[in-house]
Amino acid sequence: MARQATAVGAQLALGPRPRRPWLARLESTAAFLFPILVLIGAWEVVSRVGLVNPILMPPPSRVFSETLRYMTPAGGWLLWHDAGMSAYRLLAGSVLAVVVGIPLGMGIGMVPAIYRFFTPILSILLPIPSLAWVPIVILWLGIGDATPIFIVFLSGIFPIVYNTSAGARSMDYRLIWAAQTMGARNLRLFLGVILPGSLGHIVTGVKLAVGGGWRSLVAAEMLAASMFGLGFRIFQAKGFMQIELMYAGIIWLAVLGFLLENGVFVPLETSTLRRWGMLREL
Amino acid sequence: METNAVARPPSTVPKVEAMGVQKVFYDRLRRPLVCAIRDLNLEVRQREFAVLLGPSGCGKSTFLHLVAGVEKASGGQLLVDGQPVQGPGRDRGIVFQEHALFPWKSVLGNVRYGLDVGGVPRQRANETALHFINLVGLTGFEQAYPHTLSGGMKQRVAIARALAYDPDLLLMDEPFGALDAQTRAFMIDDLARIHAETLKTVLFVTHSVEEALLLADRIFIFSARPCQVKKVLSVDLPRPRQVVDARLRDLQTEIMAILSPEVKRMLDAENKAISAAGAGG
Ligand SMILES: Nc1ncnc2c1ncn2[C@@H]1O[C@H](COP(=O)(O)OP(=O)(O)OP(=O)(O)O)[C@@H](O)[C@H]1O
Ligand SMILES: [Mg+2]
Repeated sequence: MARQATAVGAQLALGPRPRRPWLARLESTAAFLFPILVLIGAWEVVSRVGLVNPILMPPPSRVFSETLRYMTPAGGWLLWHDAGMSAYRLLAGSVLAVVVGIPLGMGIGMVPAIYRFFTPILSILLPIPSLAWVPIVILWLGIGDATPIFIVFLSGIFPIVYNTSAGARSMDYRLIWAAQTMGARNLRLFLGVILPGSLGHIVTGVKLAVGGGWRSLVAAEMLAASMFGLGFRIFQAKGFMQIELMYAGIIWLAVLGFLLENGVFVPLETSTLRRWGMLREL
Repeated sequence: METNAVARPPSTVPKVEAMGVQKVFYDRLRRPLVCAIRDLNLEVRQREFAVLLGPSGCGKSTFLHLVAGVEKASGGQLLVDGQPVQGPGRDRGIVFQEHALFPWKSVLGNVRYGLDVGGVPRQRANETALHFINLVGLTGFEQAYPHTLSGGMKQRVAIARALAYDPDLLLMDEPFGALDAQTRAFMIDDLARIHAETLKTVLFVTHSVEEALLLADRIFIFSARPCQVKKVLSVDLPRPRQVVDARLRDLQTEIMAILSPEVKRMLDAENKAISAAGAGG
């Protein structure tokens, strides 16, 4: 609050007249959308004029109208089902990765014996792309939800473990000391001090995990999903030459990924790390 | 500047006893890196206000950490209330040189933390915390987060946090270092009063000889690293003390005379280390 006031004051003194906030927001949204609209416009023209094969690259107007159709009863609500299924698998896999990864990362970051035991194991597992496991996991868990969920878990566990342990190791140990002199021990020390003190790294880890999980999920769904899912849909649509539906699936991937970042992680960071001054504003 | 309090005379029962205390820091491969403290002997009595003075880097903070129990001595014996120090405890509160406030807690949350951990009921914890926030002059900043405060304000929050849960032994590491002269004078007054009114023992590190003379029952002058007690001075001036007091001025000159060769020795040693490192690399 106070900081905002001085910023405005400085602008009054030095710069041009301060703008109304909604106008500034409108401007930045427009600046964000403009390049995207240019790209879509160019695609439309190129496709209509016939510079590219309009069957393989249908004009965006047709892609959008088809996308809308698959979002209504006429298209059987198809895309909603797919997105819901993908979101469920992403969430389940990510939650698993968080539940396993944060305690393991904390252990590695704080207990030398755990560090020494797990570091070699993690270093040989890390270079394996999580998708390499898909065929094996299909044999274990079969075609269905379990396999993509497990793949999301696999691709998420490494960034979470690494970042969490880095967070625990780099946290200001004087904060732990201070809490200990006030009598904090064990669980209280862990939950009340060590965890929030490492939160910056943990959030980074979870962000990377969910982002990576989203990518792996789509590929895993292409190989191992049985009914719904955006990856499954794109792959399936290819079989029926439903080109627009394939593009519709890709558009949904982009939009959902964007919403995940800006609708979940940015507010999460704003309400914690930014508020506490643990994340610098850019 | 004056301290408006008449201190109770310290008892003769020892509160902190260091006998041949040693602290060596090791590197990653457990090779000795720095010998911060070698053969430190001192005794601080119950209810005493003890000030530690010494050149920068001589091991004063390290010694406070040992007493607080957050670091382990490498040798010798360190007793608090006759018992060997074994880890941190609520009987010893510390104000760290770098504040060490919890960035995710507000001023109120920070000051209340020790009370919350001690199981003090919420209502009373709040009242106590607000009292100490007021004492350090930060009323109105209860809900502010540490990163929005100035260095001096952070120091004052750290002081309030250490006072709030009422530890027996207060360890204070240059707590007034970042304060302006005016605020510092008020804080010195308050601390002297708190010390006089309670049964607390205080171990106080400072670089300000004046601060030391205004507050101390006894001043321990540390030598250059590895630190030893070079001289112990009783300050038998009546309270409230005033900086303009001629006797205080005399003591100041005396302390300066003891301190400056140590500071010089420390600087020389550091310069030598730097040029050795330069020649080596
Ligand atoms: N964790 C550590 N690892 C290695 N060396 C350390 C560590 N902590 C302190 N030292 C060294 O121990 C010596 C004493 O440090 P200490 O912080 O106790 O000094 P100080 O007397 O408090 O100095 P100042 O007045 O500048 O605060 C210094 O040489 C420092 O480099
Ligand atoms: Mg120090």
